[in-house]
Amino acid sequence: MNKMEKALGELGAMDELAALDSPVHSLSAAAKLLSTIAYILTVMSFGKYQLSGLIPMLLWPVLLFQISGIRVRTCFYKLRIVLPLVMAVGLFNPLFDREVIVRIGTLGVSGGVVSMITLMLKGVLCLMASFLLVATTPFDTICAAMRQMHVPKTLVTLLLLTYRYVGVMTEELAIMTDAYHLRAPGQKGIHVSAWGSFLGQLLLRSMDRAQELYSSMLLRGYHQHFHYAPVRPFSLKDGIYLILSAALFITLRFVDVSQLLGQILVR
Amino acid sequence: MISFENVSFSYERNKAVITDLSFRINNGEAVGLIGANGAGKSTVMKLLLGLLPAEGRITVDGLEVRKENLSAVRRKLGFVLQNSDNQMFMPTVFEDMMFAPLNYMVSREDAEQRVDAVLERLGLTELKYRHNHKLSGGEKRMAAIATILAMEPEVILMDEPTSALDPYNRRIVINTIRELKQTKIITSHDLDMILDTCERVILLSEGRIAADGPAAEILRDRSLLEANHMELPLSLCGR
Repeated sequence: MNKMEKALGELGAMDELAALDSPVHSLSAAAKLLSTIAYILTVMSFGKYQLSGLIPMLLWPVLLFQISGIRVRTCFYKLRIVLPLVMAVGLFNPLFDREVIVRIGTLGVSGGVVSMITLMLKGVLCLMASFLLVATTPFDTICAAMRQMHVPKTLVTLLLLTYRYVGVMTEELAIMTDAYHLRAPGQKGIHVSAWGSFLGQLLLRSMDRAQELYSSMLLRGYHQHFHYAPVRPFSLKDGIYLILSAALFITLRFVDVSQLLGQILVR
Repeated sequence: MISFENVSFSYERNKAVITDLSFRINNGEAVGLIGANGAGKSTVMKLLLGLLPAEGRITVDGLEVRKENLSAVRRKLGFVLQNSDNQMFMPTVFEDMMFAPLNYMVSREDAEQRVDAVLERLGLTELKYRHNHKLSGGEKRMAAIATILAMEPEVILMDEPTSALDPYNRRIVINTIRELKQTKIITSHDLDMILDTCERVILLSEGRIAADGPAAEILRDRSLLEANHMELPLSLCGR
């Protein structure tokens, strides 16, 4: 099994995770989508030095991991490609912002280091929240919820089809990579000289397959309108979940829980 | 009834793939469309489905295949693609089977009943909630047929339905095809399967009809088949 086939398997595994049964899975997609958006906005609203306020925001994803039965390890494993990129965002902050703003004992911590860690944590938290949404809700249902929230049809269809076509493109890439390595034994990766033709072929083959898939959709009555899975009506349970989430976010945003705990412990 | 009247088609100028093709297929007939590679079999299917623009006249139950009628024509036709992976694009078999009925405004309850009935008829009930990417080749092919049957089409078109299947799964697909009551048009190089499932054969050669008649007669005609780059079905070779 080559890397691409593994990637394809992982994509399928996400659908399987979303099909599990847990109190989080059974919540309405719209409630989960709204709470995720609210969470991401709250996380993003923290200032670059508000690290102590941001840390308690971990509470929400940790709770959801516990209740949904999805392992944190799975999350970090699936996000292993994106995480380093997100982590790299604030990497140069310590070079530009050298003013010491915190002292731990005799050690002075510069604003750059604090803002770097804050940015990294923000990225990780947002990714975790997005992962939890996709891992507890089938993608079609998320799209249905987006339509329910009046997100433009074209945008939602584009998102859904992209999700479907990623698989098609990965499959083609897997076949081509296998064919390449069978005729280039002992070679690591694809040689630079073949990159151009490889990408060109991949594009052409993906287009062919995408065309056939689209024909298959047209022949089964598709007319630019997806019939999404029925969206479960908003229930009391969803309302309570949303209210609790909002209350938690507001509390964590305006009350620096870490500082409060520190003060209590110091006393 | 399906009718082709003087139909021609070319992908490039002055390079006709289909030339002046005329034939009729009556309701309930099972017709095998055979021919060498490049004879025009797949093109004939695509022309009938309105995926390619034809010169001449193609009708399905009196409805001409042209832009204004495409939706109505396609509702009557169910096309099973050669590569089932290209047909099954929803996450599960159930969702894939629901795709067409919902597009044709069948209510969700009725569509679910249809899906259950088709799965039961084909003995695939256990596949209902299976993820498409986890199906074996044979299961995928049967599921692809099921997605088409859920449309309740009047005509079923199949492109190489037994390709890349092991003998056991091939037999299951053949038996399933034989039991379908609809009009069937099947393109294949598997002449034994054509002999098993079709009463009539249209032999295409370079975009024209080389022979049209009972399957049992055409598929026994060694010289005709060999002249068209084909061979007698193994079951008739007498080896």
